[in-house]
Amino acid sequence: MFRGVRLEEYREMLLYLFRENKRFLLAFIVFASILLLGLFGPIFYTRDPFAMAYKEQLPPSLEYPLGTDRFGRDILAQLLYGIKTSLYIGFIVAVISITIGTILGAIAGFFGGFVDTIIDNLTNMMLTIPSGLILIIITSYIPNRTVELLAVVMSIFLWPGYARGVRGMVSSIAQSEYVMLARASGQRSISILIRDVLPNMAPFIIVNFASFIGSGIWMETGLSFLGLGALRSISLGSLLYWAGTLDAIRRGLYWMFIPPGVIITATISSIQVIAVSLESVFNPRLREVGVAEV
Amino acid sequence: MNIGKRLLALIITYWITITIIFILPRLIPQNPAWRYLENLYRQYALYPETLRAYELRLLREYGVGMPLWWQYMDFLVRMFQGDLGTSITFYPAKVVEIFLKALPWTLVLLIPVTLLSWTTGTLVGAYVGYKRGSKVDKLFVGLSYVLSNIPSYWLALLMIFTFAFTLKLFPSGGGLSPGVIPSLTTTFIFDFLRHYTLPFITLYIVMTPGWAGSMRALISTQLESDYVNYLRAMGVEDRIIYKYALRYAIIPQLTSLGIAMGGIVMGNLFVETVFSYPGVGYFLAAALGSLDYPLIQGFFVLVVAVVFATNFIVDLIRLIIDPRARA
Repeated sequence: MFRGVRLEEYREMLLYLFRENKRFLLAFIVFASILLLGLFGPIFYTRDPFAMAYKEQLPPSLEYPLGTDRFGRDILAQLLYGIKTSLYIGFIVAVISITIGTILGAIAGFFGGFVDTIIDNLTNMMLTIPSGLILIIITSYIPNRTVELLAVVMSIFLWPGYARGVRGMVSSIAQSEYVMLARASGQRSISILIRDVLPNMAPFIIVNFASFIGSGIWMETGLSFLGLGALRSISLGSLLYWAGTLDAIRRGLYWMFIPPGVIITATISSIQVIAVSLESVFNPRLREVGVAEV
Repeated sequence: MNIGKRLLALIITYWITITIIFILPRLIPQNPAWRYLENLYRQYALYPETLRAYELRLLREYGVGMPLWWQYMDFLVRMFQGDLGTSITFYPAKVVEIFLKALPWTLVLLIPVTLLSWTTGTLVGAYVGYKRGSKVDKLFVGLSYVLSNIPSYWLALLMIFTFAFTLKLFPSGGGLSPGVIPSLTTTFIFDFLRHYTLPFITLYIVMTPGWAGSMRALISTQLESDYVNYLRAMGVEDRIIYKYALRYAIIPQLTSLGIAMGGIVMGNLFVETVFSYPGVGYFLAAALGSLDYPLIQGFFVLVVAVVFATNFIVDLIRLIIDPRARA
């Protein structure tokens, strides 16, 4: 089942996805557009999202594409800034969760024994607790919430399921012939782990990285909507929070709450489609079963 | 799996989680109690007597200023006596009282919506799983990617905007109109249902795709497994094969339902908040906003106990009905 990493094979799989899977292509275009909006939007659309500089409660027009809010802030500027923040958070969450999960899972799977028992019990515990509730409570206790701090706290609750997957894969790779050979040739464990085991898991890590970006954005949006987001910052969730607290609905300011929700749903669904499609080409068994649709 | 061991693990996990939720706010610099005191000083700076009374209350009831271990022991002892303290925001209501007042609202909303979305989701999932690869299935998968990723609170806002603000068909929130008292009259029932409809539909839309998706995956896995291929090779009728597959697939789906039923006591923080529906989630969100930490802590202790107990019971039932789980 496991071989050395073949880059050409992966490249071919990706080309296949782009050619054959229309849903993947659509999701890719949607996500790429949102990514570009977040990265370059604030550079080209230079209005200050925090400035209360314009007329209040203006509906969308040519001059204000998405209108303004009750304090005369430009909604498009806020939205672009919010996309940037949300993507940034998703990215940090993915980096931290993948790092924690890979290290703990790899150690448990490769070395086994006592370390494995400890990590396994910890993972079990993290999977048993109602983590969403605990995350919300802990976040409310943090006085000076920053974007980065929030990302760290969210990652604490995201790694366990993934770590369990890593553990399983590493322990089965560790028993494969080429790792036995590497061991017999006298290589050190750490170097086998890094040079022979982990590269074989690249597809698995990439797929999970993508879904962690989605989970990070999703969780942050929820926290921000409850008013528990980072202070002095704008994310897709805090835009909806403001729409709620500034009474956008009873004032009929639909331009305040429709765009952020559309962007959130589009971002999360496109990431999910990308992750599932990647998983289905990397893991042919899923494709046969039809669990992951190609 | 050893039942005793599992129970012990759950109890230890429970103890660790409530300890963390207890200790954490007290370790953080500028902890909530101090932030609360600061607010109090600002608000009542002009009324020294009131302020003094508040201070005494805080000292006595919340153990502010006592050493951490004392507060912790006090918390545990009172917890076993069924006393989870007094709310700060809703003073002088006891946390347990507030919880018991909010719980029926949450149960009345979430039990029917969970059961209904599970039933439709399971039926739809079983159907598209059987027809996997067909046009219906492709449409379902595409649709559920979008539907299952709509944030519930956003959908709730859209619902209020469309049906309460624009069309004026339903009230925009709350549990009952002011002045309506729970009783078995048509006025009450009609008023209750008017407030109930939008949160119910919102939750139904958000919850159903998930159930359908999991059932679709379960039934597909069964239909592609070795025993099904064997039965097919033997020439067994498709309908009969499907019946077998369904029986295996329904067990994990039922397990998830059981676990979800335990989670119901948490309420739905988002939907209850947007609709100001006075359930557990609504009060919890209010408490989070005002840092009412006796209430947060108390709700947490109760909710997690129920969640863990249900998980344990679900495990037990699974052990009894599914011999494979005993391995």
